[in-house]
Amino acid sequence: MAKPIKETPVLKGKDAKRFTEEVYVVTPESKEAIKKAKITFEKFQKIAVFPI
Amino acid sequence: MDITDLRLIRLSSEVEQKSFTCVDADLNDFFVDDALNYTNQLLAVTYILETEIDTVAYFSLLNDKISIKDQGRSWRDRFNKKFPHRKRINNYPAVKIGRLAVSENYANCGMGSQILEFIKTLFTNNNRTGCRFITVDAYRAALPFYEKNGFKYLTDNDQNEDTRLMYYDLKKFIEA
Repeated sequence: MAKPIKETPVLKGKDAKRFTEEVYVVTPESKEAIKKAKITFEKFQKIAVFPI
Repeated sequence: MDITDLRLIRLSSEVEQKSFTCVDADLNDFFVDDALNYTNQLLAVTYILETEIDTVAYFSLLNDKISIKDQGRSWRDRFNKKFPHRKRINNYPAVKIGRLAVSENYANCGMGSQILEFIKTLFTNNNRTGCRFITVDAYRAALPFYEKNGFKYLTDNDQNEDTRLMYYDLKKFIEA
């Protein structure tokens, strides 16, 4: 029997402050990284035996 | 690794699970003993990449949420000063990677990163519900892998545990 999937805890204190600040200052991924991921996604779509 | 020769399937009772072995016993046990049960209980969906003869990788996804406990008035005031005209949100929808594992026969060939690229794109393109973050409870050995793929730590409280909670902000993945 494997370990159960751990729940995500409610963030408090220092963790909450750091997370909130990071959420409001987003550094986007490069266009190349997003384009590469889209190509990968299309490959997964082609090999999927169910609709995506 | 070129995935065009593989099949991507959703685990269900009708699927015959092919052999799978990776270096972590817990990941092997989850695939054999628990993945279908999570599916049947509607708690997670497991996706499998396979060849005709074996399982190359699998990943299980479930709904999640990142919640922030309000830190009091002084914190709210400081936030409003730092980010004027921005609404403070205390609950964010997320998708959790319950498990992600690659067979030892296909390790170190980029399969895990391709799976993350797939998940990031899946949840930022034509998604049916809002989803801001990917969360994962990462095994210690996998921490560098998730860091390399842009994940950050949610808390310092789990620094000495077997697994650490991490997150990826999907807003980074939307083209400006």
